Amino acid sequence: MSFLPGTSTNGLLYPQVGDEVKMVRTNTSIRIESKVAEGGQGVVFRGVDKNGHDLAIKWYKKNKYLERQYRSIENLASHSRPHKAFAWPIDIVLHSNVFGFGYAMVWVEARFISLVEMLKQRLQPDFRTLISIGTELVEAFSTLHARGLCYKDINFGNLLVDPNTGEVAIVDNDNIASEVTKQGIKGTLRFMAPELITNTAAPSTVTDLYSLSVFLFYLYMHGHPLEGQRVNVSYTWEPGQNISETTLATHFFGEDPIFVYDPWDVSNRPDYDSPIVRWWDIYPTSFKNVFIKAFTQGLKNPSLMTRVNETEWRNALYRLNDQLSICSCGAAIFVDFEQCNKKCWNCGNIPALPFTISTPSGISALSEGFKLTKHHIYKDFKYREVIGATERHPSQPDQLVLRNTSNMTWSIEPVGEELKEVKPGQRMLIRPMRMSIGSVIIEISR
Amino acid sequence: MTQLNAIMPGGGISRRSLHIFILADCSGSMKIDGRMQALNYAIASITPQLISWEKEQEQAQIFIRAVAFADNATWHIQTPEPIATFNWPPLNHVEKGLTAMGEAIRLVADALSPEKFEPRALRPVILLITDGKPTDIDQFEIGIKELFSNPVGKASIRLAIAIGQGANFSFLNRFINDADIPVMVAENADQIVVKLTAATLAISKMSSIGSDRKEVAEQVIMPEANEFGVGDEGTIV
Repeated sequence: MSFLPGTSTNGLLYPQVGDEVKMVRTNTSIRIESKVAEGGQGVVFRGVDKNGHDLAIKWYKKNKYLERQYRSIENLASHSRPHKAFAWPIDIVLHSNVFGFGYAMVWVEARFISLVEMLKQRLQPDFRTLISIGTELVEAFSTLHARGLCYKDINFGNLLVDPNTGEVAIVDNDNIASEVTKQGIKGTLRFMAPELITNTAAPSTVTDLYSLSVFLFYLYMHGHPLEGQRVNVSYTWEPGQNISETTLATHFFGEDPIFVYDPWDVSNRPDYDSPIVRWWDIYPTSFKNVFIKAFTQGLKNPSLMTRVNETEWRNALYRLNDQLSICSCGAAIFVDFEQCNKKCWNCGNIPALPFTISTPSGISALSEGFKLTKHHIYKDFKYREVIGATERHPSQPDQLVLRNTSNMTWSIEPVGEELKEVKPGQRMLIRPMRMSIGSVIIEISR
Repeated sequence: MTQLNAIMPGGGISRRSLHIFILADCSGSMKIDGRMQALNYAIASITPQLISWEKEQEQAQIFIRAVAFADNATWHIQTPEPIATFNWPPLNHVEKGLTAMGEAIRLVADALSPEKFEPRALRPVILLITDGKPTDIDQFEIGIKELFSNPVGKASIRLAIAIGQGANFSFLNRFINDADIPVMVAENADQIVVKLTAATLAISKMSSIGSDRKEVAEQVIMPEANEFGVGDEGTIV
């Protein structure tokens, strides 16, 4: 095989700290600085290139699939990365006298941690950061799937998050392959689609969408979507009743899965003390409905239509961001436009409704941190193009203002007042009004 | 961008306990070659590995208990200690001490009885470290019987590390009672930490639901048999 530079003269299976490995296409040297991790497939090192940039090097353990792995990495490295979140293979690396090969990828900074680690922390990031994590993840997978590639092994070890910035890093990209490739791994059981567990399908975009939904459920609800009372009562050590964990998992996650909030089957509701109960209650109906779709029709009838795809997730997260508000007690809450008089999860009182803004994209809560984007006005999916943002009133901290950050002048007609203009850069006090941005009429009301 | 100072619900996810029992030999021969000190050092050095593994686990919350055995067996750590705050009080060998391995197994078998063991816990792990063979053979026979007649004991993950040449494999294999999992051998004191590290990796992998013990044993306990092993940790091929 072309990638095997002879037998190891030193009998070593991996490069050693201080060794140099070379990238095959550019012939650039990378010095191995330290060993970072060891897994079943290989060893990961931190390396430094001649410009002093950190890189991660994964070196494969000797195995019978080495040649196939080489071709797969070579292929991935020949394409640009689909999204900045992917720690994409940059190039194959070889060592002058160690058997086998490795590959270089972007070094993932220590600020990225496992989602589990984040979920366990007492102080949780605010909802806007949580929504940003979900959105970035969904966008990354959307670009991957749009290229006809699938990830195959979404799990907590591979998807890392920065709890401060809401950014995501997706590692272990070497299992990514085109959908038609039937070989390779099937995934991590608790994230695997039921049809993979029961062995009735191969990994694909459809199974990725399932795993993505499980990950998002963990992110927002702090638990597994299929792990409720029905699963918990099956754990027993009574003589003759004890069933192996694998058998249980195959049954409850594969053969006969039931969503903890299945509207037609209450048999697997979460335990009363499960964190899922508290978090589920906080979110608005429209957002919960997306999970209900993902884990009812998307559970047993796998297809691109029944599963929630990235566009649906992106819209749902975008809507969720628009429903964020704050209770007078100081707690972050969501305005539920489909459930009136919902109590605050923190103080138990019914919060006063914030001002809302009706745009062609729907109704949004005008709360602190709200951003008016082009998508609100034109429904053009330009979520990141901000044209207005709320700020606290400089002298009346309980009031909010909306700053025009676009380059267009808005005309506003507050109730009981005459027509006014809000020029680019100007702020306006939020109060009931009709306003026009170009030819689009929007309304602010309480 | 952020909601300044908005109150958020507190974090946390529901988890299941993973109880690890360490059975440590403190017989007279453990003083040879600094074995006892090496064992103390090895347990201290695997702790960070277990802590970082637990951090990434959505399920397992690790608790440690330990039994020391020589002329008789006693709880070294009786109350389950969460790994995050775990502290290992060093063990000392007992001068001319015997090897009450049977009694040690009986202590653990008792702690694992279904009425004492929490139903939601993951399969417990029993890690036996010895440089000899049981000197209480009648107790050993009873202990093995008690362990395997108990559903928790039967479901447990059992690993054994033999130190030096004096350890008797036939007893250790009866304790492991699984042809796929070999006894790990530390030829000398230096290797105790290496083997204990491998055992820790094996524990973490075998505790992942859906894992194949035989495959894990081949990957982790018998690295020389790894030539044709494939698959990442926690994944199913």
